[in-house]
Amino acid sequence: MTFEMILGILLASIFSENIALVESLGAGAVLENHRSTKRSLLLGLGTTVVMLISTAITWALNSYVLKNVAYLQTLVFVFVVLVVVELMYIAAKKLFNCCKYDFVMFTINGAVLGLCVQSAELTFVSAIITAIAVGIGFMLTTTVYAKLKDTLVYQDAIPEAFRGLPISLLTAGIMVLAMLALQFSL
Amino acid sequence: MKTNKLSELLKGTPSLLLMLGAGFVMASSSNLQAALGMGAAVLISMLLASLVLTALCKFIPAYAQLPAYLLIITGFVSIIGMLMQAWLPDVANMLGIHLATIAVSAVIYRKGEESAEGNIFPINTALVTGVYLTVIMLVSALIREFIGSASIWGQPIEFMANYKISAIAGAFGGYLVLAIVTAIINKLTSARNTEEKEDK
Repeated sequence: MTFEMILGILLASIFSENIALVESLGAGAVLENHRSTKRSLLLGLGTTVVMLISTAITWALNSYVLKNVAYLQTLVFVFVVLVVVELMYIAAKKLFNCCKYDFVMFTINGAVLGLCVQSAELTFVSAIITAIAVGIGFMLTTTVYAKLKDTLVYQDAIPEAFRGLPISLLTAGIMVLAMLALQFSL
Repeated sequence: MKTNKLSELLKGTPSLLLMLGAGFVMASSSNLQAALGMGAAVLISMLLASLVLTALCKFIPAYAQLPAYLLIITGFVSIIGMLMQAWLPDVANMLGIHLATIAVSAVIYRKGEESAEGNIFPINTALVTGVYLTVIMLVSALIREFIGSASIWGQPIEFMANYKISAIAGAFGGYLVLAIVTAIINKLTSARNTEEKEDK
């Protein structure tokens, strides 16, 4: 794998093919995020770790165990994500004072399962690099979106019908437009 | 009386559920066939999950609720995915990975959780939510397909061919159209609430 290929995977996964907003697999998790910028960064970091570990395990399972039982893929992948999140929660509970809800959000996140399914067809090295890049992309999106959402406190300036979800969707849409703009310049 | 019951069932649905289900709503609203397929998948999985979780909730200990609920929902989504691959392969291919990810969608999980918590009308709420999401998907898909691809149900619309805006069929269009649709719903809901207050 050449340096150009790694750079290509990194840039595409972070910007032009961002799993959270452009592919809209994690759109719910991003839009529903009401945390501060710092906590959003931590949530993104946690999601990256979950993505990395889950991808490594699901890739191995898909390549060696699920070959003849492909119909069990979704069920097995969800189970792996659940186990990874639960083990991370047990470890994090001992180290930090963390909230169980954040860990639930790692599990109920289409981006994690979507990445596992997409990466199953790649080579192991590509899958791991993609998992890291997608995780960074998700972290960036969650953090930038949280920061942008803070600026939406001046709700009086927004027409009444657009307050709440519509303005959140428009904000996310403008972020998508900015990310897609990079697709053409690469 | 009927209106009151419907409002009760839809309580919290418009904004929160659309926010949680934004991912699959946008992914499947680029054309009408995909929207109908996804709507059916969401509705059936939500109904079946509500039924089973209502029946099993007493036997699932509190610490195992999240994994148990998610695995039950994933089981139904996998079955629906396989049936779709067998009978509607084109729609299944159109939905792709998004069909599998409805298994971990917060909207289905939360509705399942509500059913297990002893909601009096779990089937009704699941049905209303599923139909509501399907209607939103269909309306968004109609707008996006008409303006973005100059077609309806895959049939080209001649007079729109030179005026189509391809961006509407893409990811950005999904957010834009859904934002406008939810703004219209907000406007209608607030107008109805004002009328009800005035009546009282």
